[in-house]
Parts: sequence; structure tokens; C-alpha cells
Amino acid sequence: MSWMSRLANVFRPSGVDRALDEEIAFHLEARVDDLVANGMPRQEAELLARRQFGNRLRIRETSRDVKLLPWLDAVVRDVRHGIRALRRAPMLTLVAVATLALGIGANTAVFSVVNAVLLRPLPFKDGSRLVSVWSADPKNPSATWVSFPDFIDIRTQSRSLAGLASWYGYEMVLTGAAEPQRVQVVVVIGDLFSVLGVPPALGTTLRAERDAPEQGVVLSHRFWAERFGSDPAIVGRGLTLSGKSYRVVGVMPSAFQFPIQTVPVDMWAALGPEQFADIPQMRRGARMMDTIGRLREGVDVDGARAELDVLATRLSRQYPESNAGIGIRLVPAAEHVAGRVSRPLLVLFAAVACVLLIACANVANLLLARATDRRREIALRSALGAGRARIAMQLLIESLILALAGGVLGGLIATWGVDALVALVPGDLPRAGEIGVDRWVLGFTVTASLATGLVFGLAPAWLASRVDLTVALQEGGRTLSDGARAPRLRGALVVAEIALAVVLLTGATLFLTTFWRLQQAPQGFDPHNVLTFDVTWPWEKYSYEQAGNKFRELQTALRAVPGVTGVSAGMQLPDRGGAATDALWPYLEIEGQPVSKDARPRTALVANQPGYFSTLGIPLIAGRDFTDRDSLEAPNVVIVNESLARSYFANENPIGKRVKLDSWLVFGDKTPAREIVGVVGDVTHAGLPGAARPLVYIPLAQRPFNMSYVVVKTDNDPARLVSAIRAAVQSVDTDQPIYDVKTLDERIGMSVGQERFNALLLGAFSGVALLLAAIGLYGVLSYTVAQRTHEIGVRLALGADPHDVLRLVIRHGVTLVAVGLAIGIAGSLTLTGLVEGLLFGISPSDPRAHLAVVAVLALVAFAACWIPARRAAHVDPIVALRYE
Amino acid sequence: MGDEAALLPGTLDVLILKSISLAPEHGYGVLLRIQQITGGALLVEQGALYPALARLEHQGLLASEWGTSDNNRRAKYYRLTAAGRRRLKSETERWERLALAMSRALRAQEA
Repeated sequence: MSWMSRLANVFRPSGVDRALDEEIAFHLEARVDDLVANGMPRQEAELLARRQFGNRLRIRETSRDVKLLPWLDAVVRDVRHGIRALRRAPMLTLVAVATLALGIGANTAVFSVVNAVLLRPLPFKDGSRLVSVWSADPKNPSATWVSFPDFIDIRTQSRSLAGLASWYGYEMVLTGAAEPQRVQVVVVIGDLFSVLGVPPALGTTLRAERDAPEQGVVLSHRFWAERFGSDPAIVGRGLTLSGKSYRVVGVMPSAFQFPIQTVPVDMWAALGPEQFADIPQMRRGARMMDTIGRLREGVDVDGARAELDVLATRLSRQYPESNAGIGIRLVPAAEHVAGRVSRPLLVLFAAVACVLLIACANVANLLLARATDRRREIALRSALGAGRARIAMQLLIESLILALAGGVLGGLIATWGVDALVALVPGDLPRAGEIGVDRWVLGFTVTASLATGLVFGLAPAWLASRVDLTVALQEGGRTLSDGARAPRLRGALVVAEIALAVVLLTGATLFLTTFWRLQQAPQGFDPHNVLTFDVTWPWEKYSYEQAGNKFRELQTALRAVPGVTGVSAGMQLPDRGGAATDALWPYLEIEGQPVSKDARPRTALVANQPGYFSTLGIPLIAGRDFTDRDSLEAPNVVIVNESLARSYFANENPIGKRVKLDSWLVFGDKTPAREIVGVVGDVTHAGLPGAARPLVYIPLAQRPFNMSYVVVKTDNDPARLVSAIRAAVQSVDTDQPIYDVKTLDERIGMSVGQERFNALLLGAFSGVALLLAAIGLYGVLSYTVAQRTHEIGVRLALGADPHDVLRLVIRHGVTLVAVGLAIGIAGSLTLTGLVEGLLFGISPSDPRAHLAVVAVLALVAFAACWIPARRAAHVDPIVALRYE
Repeated sequence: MGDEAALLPGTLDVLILKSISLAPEHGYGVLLRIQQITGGALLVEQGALYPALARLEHQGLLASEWGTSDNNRRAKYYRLTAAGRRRLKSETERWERLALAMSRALRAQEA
């Protein structure tokens, strides 16, 4: 018989059965004929023939098993049988499917985030070949960008990179229309668009270092639509940006986003190297450019790393002054984009997988209990000749049906859940816009469902298929006890559930504490009633010195606004938003404490205006604040924070001591001595876990920058004053937009977005886990009580104290809980490494966290034990005995 | 009937192959043929014949077609395939070796 016809047999078994029936009928008739021919009466002959032939039904079954693709036939029949069986137990089916749907749905939703943020290649041509290129300075882990001359050398000398481009973000003011508008410009050095492999939707892209009198810009699709109403004749149009003219050369497609960041880019502009030649910031030691490269065909990341290591060594020998000890680091670009969110996401993914495991354990318990109820059915099938594997297969198929039903429902839940999750994700989550349900996510759902079905179905199926026929059938209608293994397995499952729930609860406690601590005072400043916004004086219009004066003018104008009690400005706000100034980390030299050039420590640096500390409520511990007299011409002064004073002036008064700050980017060649005039309190930068670090403040007037955050303290809700403040800014410069207007409270809330997300999700997951574990415990104890009703009835009839019965059941529950707790705590202690670095203000092995978890779990577990225990104690002996 | 020996496992298949090797035969005919060639010494459970036939057919040792029996009834006739013939030969050799070895062993024990 051919494979095909056998396959066909599966779906029309009746034809095969009929042929076999005919064959058997012929046999019987021939036999009867022979017997009759030998002189036996026909009726007797028919009986004898039948008896000699044996069990027709069984023979038919075994013959058919051979003829058909037996397993496929069995599957089709088992699926039909399974659906019938599940329909007969609607409550169980409902509970199991709902539990699984929640578990699979939650997993799918979280996976869709993991998929978009961590797994999918970047949305560029052949995105997996893109690499981020960094400088590696072992002494300064934060300043890792690439300098312009290094960039040129890497690009011309590397053979493993097919292309290399750099960029940095820049803000310009677009004028010419009614309102001056701040635009996000990405300045591109090199052939960025061909490295990314994305063609424009309109016009051309920027060509590398083109020598044109007028700079070209490429617009983003969004900006083109918003600002120019998708004008098809935009290419060739001139624009005035921060007082200079540019020409639009192209528009990118709407899906194009680069760099992948939360602030959407409005346009890309090219700058040729000739424009950098004179700027000191373009020197080899000034590392400030983000760089992306494309691996040449046939070269992998490791190969490219090896080559660039050699190149870096050559550069350090050639330029020891700037490049000694500086390496070149390659990171797959997708990995870099995922950056610091990858670990929290993986932790959440692991957590939600644990929830699914707990759900599996619960469903497995349900099935075990049900299998006991079905022992007669199973025994009967076994007596009729079904093998053990066959019965196990049938039960397993029932589990798979449950799992797939849960998967389908879970998929539906996930499509809704993904939206909810996207609404919750922190604002700075990269690639959040790509989150959605695609074929990978659907594939994950199907795989997860099947795996789930196997996990919770395998053990019950195998155990239940092992029946002792005589016992099972003899026991008849009486309540069946279920052998020795099933209760032990049930207990083990509940213990596992509790252990997993403990791990999740511990994680949730840690993350909730972290979130709570981050929002807690004292952080060293007072964020209430403070409005903050960003002002950038375009350098095309103002020199740095002029910009410094502008800040002073602005301060005066704002002070005049009614309701304003304090005004200042600073390069950095006490939140995570200012972390970019890490690039400014100067070397610190302290007069009287000489160290070798290589051993110099670094310090964080903030330039601010007078009044910064009082406006933000940062206490002045010693000395004085900056004043307007600390100008460019006056002696250089600094204020240090407590950490710095403690680290370097442990036993002396830092006031009057002198320090030097050395940073190419900030001060160029100049390293004048600066006198310490004040000491202020440490600020724990919200969202920056860890202790406060040494920090030096300098007067903005003595090192002017063209951009700064302005802070305005008000006597009431600062949101009321936004329009008055805007007017004050326009009075200083009518073309000046203000940007990123937020209260400091809002900013702090945003900076802990990731922690909030972690805490919220892990809290929800552990809540579900706790609930499921409690249901599991309740189920097992109830079941045991139901099974032992007869025994309990006898005990009570013989005069046992109901309290003893109560204690008996509770002891059973407490044993399970205790074992689960012990395993769970041990488990969470071994997993602390996973969350290290994601926490703030609490250690992962903090005994208080564990105690809290034990307390919550014990409380819930007790409730789950109490109800079945009371039921046991209230068993009416007469009813229990009659029930038999 | 007391002298009839139960079939050793694996013997039914080779008996079926042997009985069909002489001429194509239907199921009932196979049964009669086995009884005939074994002189009624081996007990074949009649019902067990059909699963065995189906199994052998599935293994490709037998082929079947519907035909008309002596008494003009539709019956399924089995014949040996080439593979069936080869199997019969190898099985026969195996049984002969086994039978020889067994009888030698048993005689040695008596001595």
C-alpha cells in the first residue's frame, strides 16, 4: 500500500473496516459451510465458527492499527475523543484554559517587547552587519565617543569595515515662518545613508564631504509632513537655520529613523571636514562623535575587532599624547541600541515565564485530580486492550488541546496586552515604536502553547495511564484512592509553585523598594514647584560670551515675573536627563596633592548661574554661592560637593584651596587654578543608582556654554506661569524658542520610568503568581480532604477532636509551604546577580525583603489552608460513612 | 485436541508465508493449509490470523487482491511478494538451525 493511500485511510477508516469485515464474514461463512458439510447443524456450526474465531472487535482494532498510519489515525480519534472528554468537564476546561490563556498571553505580550527591542535586526538594510564604533578608555568608562581624526583614520585604514559614518545631535532654530521653531538636526560626517543602505523617498541623500557653498539637508518624513504639508516640490527649497542658509536635497521614507532614539529627528545635515579644521573640539583628544560602521561582506564582529585592535595600538604609538591606552570598541549596533534596557527586559521575561510555569503546575494538578476520577474509564479502555502508551498519548492529546485553546485565547489577550504594555513602557525605551504582533511573536505563541501542553500534560498522562486493572475495576463505584505516586507529584508541584512565587515576590519587593526609594526624599534637593526648560542660544548668532550675558539678561527678566521666587540656570539638572555631560568629565588636579598625569582622578562638572543652589534647595554647607561678580575677567572660582570635599580634603577646610580642571572639550588648552569658594550638599541624581560622586560646579560666566537648563522656583503650581515665562524669554530675544518645558517633579518621574515599569510589571506578575500558587495549594488540600472524607468521618465517629482534624490538614499545608519557601528563598538568593545594578537603596539579599515575602506568603497560604481544613473538621461522620 | 501445541511467538508469520508460497490463498484457505501442513499439530487461533495477514501485507511481504472463491463468493487472495519469498527462505533456515540446536541440546541433557 502506498504512503498516500495509507494516509487516505486515516480519513476514511470506514472503508478499511468494511473490507476487513467482508474478509472476516467470508471466513466465517466458509467455516460454517465446512462444518455443515461435516454434518453439524447450521445453527450450531455458526456458533462454533464464531467462538473459534475469537473477539472480532479486538481483531479488527489490531488489524487496522497495522494497516493505517496508526499514530495519525490515533491522533485524529484522540482529538475527537479529547474534545468530547473536555466538554464533559466544562468547569475544569474553563479554569485550565483561562489559566493558560493568561499565562501564554502575558508571555506573548512581554515577548513582543523583547522581540522588538532585543531580537529583531535594526530596520536598515542588512541591519545585523551594522556595528557601533567606540573609543575605549579604561580610565574613563563614560567618555567613549570617537574623535574626528580617529574617525578619519579608522575609515581610511580599516579593511573590515565597508563604510563608516559619524553623527552628533544638534539643535538649531528654524526661522522664516511665523514662530521660530527649534529643530532636531543630526549632523552627519561621512556617507551615513549608504552605510545604512536606505534610499530617500524624495530627491537624494547627503553625499560625503561634498564641497558646496551651501549646506544640504535631508528632511525626515514626519517633519516634511508637519512643517511643509508634504509639499512634493520641497527639494531645492532654501531654509534658514540658526541664521544660516541651507538647501533641502531630499526627504527620507516615513519608516526611516536614525539614530534610534526617543527624540525624533527633524533633519540630517552634512558637514565637511573643512568645517571642522579650525575647531579645537575636533582635535584627536576630543571624543564626541557617535559612529556607526558596516562590516564588509564575509567579516564577522570578532574579525573586525581583531583588526581594529591592531589599528588602535598603531594610533596610540603614533599619537601618545591623546591616544595612549585608548582602544577601539565594536558593538553590534542592535545590541548597543538595546543598551541598558536589555537586562531589565530579560528579567521581566524570565519572571513572566515563571508565571506560566506556575500556571502549568496548577493545570497539571487539575489534570491529576481528574485522572483519578477517570480511573474507571481508563481501566476499562486498558481492559479492552489499549496499551499504556496509547492511553498516555490520549491524555497528552487532551492536554495539548487545552494548551492550544489557551494559546489561541492567550494570543487574543496578547494583542490587547501589547497595547497596554506599550502605554506603560518607559518613554526612553528604544525601538518602542516597533513593538507589535508579527509572525515571530505568533510563532512564539504557538511554540509556547505546545511546550506548555507537554510540560503540564506529560507527568499526569504517564501516571494516569499506569492502572492496576484488578484494583481499579474491583473498587467499583467507591471513591478511588490514587496510588502512591500521584499525591507525591501533586505535593511536589505545589512546592514548586510556591518556590517560584517566592522568587517572583522577592524580585517584586526589590523592584518596588527601588522605585519607592528613588522617589523618596532626601535626594539633596527640593524638586517641588520648580519649572525647568531648555534654552539654547544659537552659536551662529551669539558667541559663547554673548550667550553667557544672555543667560544673565534672561534671569533678570524672569525674576520680574510675579510668583517667581528664584531663577537660575545650569548645564545639568539633578535628574538622569543630564547624564550626557559625562563627556565633560575633566581631570582633577589639586594644588598641594601632586600625582602623575596618568593617575589623575576625574570629576563630574556642572556649569551654573548664581542662585542655582537656593533655587533647587541644595544646602550650602560652607563658603559662598557664585555671584555676578564671578565673571570671565574675575579670578576663577569653583564650588565642590560634599563627596569631593570628603574624598580629597578629609581633614582640612577645602575653602580657599585651589584645583585645576583639565578637559579638552570644555577648556581647550587652558587649565588655570581655580579657588574653592564653597561646599554644597550632595545631590543623589534621581535614577542614577549608587552613591553621590565627586562634582565640581563652575560659574557659567567663566566657561560659557550656549545651552543650559533654566530653573524657575515659584510660590505655587509652576504650570500656571508657563505663558508668562515664555513672554519673558521672548522679551530677551524674539526668535528664541524655549523647549522641553517640564516641572522638576515630572522630570524625576520620567527618569525613574524604567524602574516604574520594572516594579509595575514584576509586581503584577508576582501577584498573579501568588494567586495561582494559593489556588494550587487550596486545590491540593481540598482534594486530599475530599479523598479522606471517609477516614475523617471514622476518626470523628470514634471520638477524635475536630481540632485535631483541623490541625492534621493544616500541618499538611504548612509542610508544603515551608518546603516551598525554603527552596524559593534559596533560589532567590542564588539569582541576586541577575538584578544587581538594577536596584537602588536596597541590596538583593536584604533580609527585610525576604521577611516581607515570607510574611505575605504565609498569610495567603494560611488562608488557602484554612478553608479545606475547616471543611475537614466539620465533616459529619454519619454523612461521611453513609456516603460510602 | 489435547495434543495441539500453542504457537511459539513468531511462528505464525512463517507458517502463513509457507502456506501462501504454494499458491495464492484467501484467509480461510491459509488457516486450512496450515492445519493441513502441520497435520493439525499446531493450534492457530483463527482470529489471530487476520491481524497477522494485515501486518505481513503492511511489511510488504504479502500482496492481496479481491477474487472469487471456489463457492463463488468474493474473497481476498494473498500471494507472496519477492520480499516475502526471501523472508520465507531466511526464516526457514533460521528455524531449521534453531530446531537442530534445540534437539541436540535436549538430547545432551537426557544423556
